[in-house]
Amino acid sequence: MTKKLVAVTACPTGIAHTYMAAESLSKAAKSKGIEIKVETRGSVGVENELSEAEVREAHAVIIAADAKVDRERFAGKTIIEVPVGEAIKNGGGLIDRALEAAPPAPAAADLSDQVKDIKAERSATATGWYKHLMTGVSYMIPFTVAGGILVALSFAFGIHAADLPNTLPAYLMKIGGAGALGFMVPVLAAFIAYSIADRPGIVPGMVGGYLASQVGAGFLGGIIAGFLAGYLTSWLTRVIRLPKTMEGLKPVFILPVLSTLITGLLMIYVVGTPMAAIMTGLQHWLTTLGQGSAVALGLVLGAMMGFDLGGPVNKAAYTFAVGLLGSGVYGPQAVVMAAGMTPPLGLALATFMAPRKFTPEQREAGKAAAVLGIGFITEGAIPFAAADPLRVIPATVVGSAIAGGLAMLFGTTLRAPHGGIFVMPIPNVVGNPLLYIVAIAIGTVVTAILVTALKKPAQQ
Amino acid sequence: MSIKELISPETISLELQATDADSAIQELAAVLARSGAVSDLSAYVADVRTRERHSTTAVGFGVAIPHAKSAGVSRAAVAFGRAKAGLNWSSLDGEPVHMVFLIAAPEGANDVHLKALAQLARMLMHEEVREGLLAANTPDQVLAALG
Repeated sequence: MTKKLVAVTACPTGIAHTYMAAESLSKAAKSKGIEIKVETRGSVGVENELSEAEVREAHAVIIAADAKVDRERFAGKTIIEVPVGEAIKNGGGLIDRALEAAPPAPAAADLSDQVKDIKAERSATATGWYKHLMTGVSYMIPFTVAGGILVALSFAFGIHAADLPNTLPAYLMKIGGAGALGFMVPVLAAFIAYSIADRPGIVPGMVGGYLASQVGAGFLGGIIAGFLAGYLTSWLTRVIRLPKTMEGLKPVFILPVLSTLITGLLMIYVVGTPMAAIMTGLQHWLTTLGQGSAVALGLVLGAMMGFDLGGPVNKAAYTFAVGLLGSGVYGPQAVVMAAGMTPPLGLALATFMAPRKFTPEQREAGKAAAVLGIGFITEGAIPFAAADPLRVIPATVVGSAIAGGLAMLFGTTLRAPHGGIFVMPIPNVVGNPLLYIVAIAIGTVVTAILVTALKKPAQQ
Repeated sequence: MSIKELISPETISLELQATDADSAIQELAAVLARSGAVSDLSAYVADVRTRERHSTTAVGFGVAIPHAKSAGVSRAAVAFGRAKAGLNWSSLDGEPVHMVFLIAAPEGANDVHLKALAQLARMLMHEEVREGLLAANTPDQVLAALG
């Protein structure tokens, strides 16, 4: 069997030497008929990453780097470490040295532990789609913060103060709510697309995100819009080839028009149409469920509120409950408000309980989420859910379901369609206010504990 | 994106005036500034020098690839300069430099540009590419040599 080699190349700027060294090693190995896989750690991130199996099977490891490369993942292997320039200059010599190297020393006893650590570390590394998502989220967070604080300022004048037109509270609500919070999903989508396709991604991404809000697809729809716009635009950039005289038209005219048109139509026809159907279907189902156990209805409505945080499932539950207000049924409304408050409140609490699991900007967003949570603006949880949906959404769903189930179990009621904590002091709006607060508090704590348990430490 | 979107006939200089590394960097940086890719010439040149001091970018085979990610760069671009007589540059193999690729990347350059630059770096490791660059008589032939 021929010997296999693996190598890692890296350099400080990560623009050129990393790749020249990789090419030099690959070229030399090819001419010697040796199999080699070279992982490049450049400014584009890690490419051609070595798997644990590949490292295990390799005869030796070449590290050609002027930057720090973690050696732990190669525990028990023969390592040949040289400056990156050495690999560029003399790829063939390095390959020979690696081939002649003594066979690896017997593996250390704690190798499996080390491998486990490496695995955990690696899954936390920001690459590919995760990097794009985080770019979008980091641009979105300031909108959440600005919007949350301004909406809270408006509430400070009284929960219905914003209903009076042409007053400061109404303007604050407009600036913070319709303005800053309204841009959250478009900005999320725009900068996911920007991360993928650079500047041309912004227009289709932002328009796609706006449409996601409009068709009721929520932030999950916005994430879809961002990736759709980004990959579509980067594909269009590659495939559209124009004669040199017309090349100038591409970035200013053809790309923005085509990418926006296609993204927009897909968002409306492919993403939007099923959204409406999902909402109608869910509302119908809730009506049948409404005849059964009250607590079960509370659990289901609660879970729906915590699921997509302003998306179709959340809206279906909310619309169902508000619809019942007209028929004099006030329990479900209490459920949806409690369950809509716990996601942002729970995440805000989690940022205080386990600050290490959040980035500094997420910890800031946590404060805004607290303010938004007490105002029943579920969207405050979006920056967290968008950044890590698979861990955050289960936590918000369970926390909201528990808050909803308890609200029903305690027999609480609510006669106002909105308002959060600010409606509670108003007489006769909340039935059983003390137990209502207990339900919200328990849901909040459950959400926070689950988020803390599920989330991994944030990368700095 | 191909490397040809980063380099154009205007950023190719078939005969550099410079005789050493630093003046070659300044000469090509001025070319990039004229093309609009570099907005703050002195900031960019300072960043390239800092990188160069860290370790030489004259990687051998007569090739140097000075580069920097810099706030003085408005868009990613590459300038190519050739010095028939050879430039005095402390190269990895001790030989003079005949071909210089000066690379300008903006702060927060995106993956598309960085991948194109990586592709250029890989190409330069192949002898036939280097021979094509040395033999080129016009900027268009330089571009053709880059595949």
